[in-house]
Amino acid sequence: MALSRRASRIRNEVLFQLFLFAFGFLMVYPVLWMIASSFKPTADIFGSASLLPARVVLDNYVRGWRFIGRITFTTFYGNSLFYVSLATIGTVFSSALVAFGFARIRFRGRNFWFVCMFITLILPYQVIMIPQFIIFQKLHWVNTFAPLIVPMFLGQPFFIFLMVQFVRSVPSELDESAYLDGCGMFRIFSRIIFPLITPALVTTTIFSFYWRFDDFLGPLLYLNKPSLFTVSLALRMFSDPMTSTDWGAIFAMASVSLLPVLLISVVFQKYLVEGISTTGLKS
Amino acid sequence: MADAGALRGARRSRSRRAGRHGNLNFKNAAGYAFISPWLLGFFAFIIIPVITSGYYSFTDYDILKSPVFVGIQNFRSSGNWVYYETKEGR
Repeated sequence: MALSRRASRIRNEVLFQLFLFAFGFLMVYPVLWMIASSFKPTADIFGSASLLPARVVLDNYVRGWRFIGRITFTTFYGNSLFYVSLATIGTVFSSALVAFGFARIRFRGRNFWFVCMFITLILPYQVIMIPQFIIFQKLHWVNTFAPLIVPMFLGQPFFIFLMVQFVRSVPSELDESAYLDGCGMFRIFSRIIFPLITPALVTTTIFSFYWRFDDFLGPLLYLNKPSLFTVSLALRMFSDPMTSTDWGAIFAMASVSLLPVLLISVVFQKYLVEGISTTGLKS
Repeated sequence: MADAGALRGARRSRSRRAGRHGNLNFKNAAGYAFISPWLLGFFAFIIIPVITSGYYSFTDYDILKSPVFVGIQNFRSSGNWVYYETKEGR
């Protein structure tokens, strides 16, 4: 009896794992297909049904990276990394600053502004897209990275929310003891709160990097010179309606474009440890 | 307003002991200083665009020429239809 119950449990477990594997494979298949196709000769991409390339060629990568000759993907990756890293740094620091203000200081009108920020979260970008473009055009910021980077230094509502929740979980006894030791407001923020919300900062870094790197609409609106293109814009340039689309090169460069995000996630995941703020506190 | 703030701050013995940080005026200033980056972005890149977006909805505007006020024409179905035909048909 006991044996059969265990056997049925094992059978259920095996079925469950099989289902998970099948479903996971279904989800990841398009990515696998893209990566596999990037190694196939152009004729084989849509010609053969097999996932694994019959003949592995690296030509797609060389051709893709060279792009249109004058400007290569080296430029695009340079642009993307410049824009994405500055925007991410701006997002992390400005959002943390604003979050501390909202979470720790009881000032007049705090709730009102907090609700205002919540409303901006719901507001679709398309509503403000055109007037914003006109503003940036009048500032002569079009065809520079400024319209994409400067707003990121002014705090991002989503990340401010994330950090406000996190700051609230840090015991206020820590602030008070820092205050008694002679810290001003800014020092309490920079020396106590900022280091203690590391998990939230890391989450923000990963998401901000990923969203900015993937962003297509922003660069499409504000960057019109090929020498300023980001990777996401450059990938679209491959499917030019005037000429035949070079699918091999697209898949090769799209596969390469997965690497930076993957790298950032893996590197920063290490720092996603639980906060240590509650240890060593007696109350 | 400043007096009321000071009074309220003084009424709480704990905040009196807290001194500078218990002072309501100081807290207001510090609070706004901390959220100032977001406030700046909120007004410059959200509030002003939303208001102008609302204004443009009552105008005939093609970015190049300055907007011409046309009332509720853009909200009438006929006005929309013409817009669609000219834009999509090219």
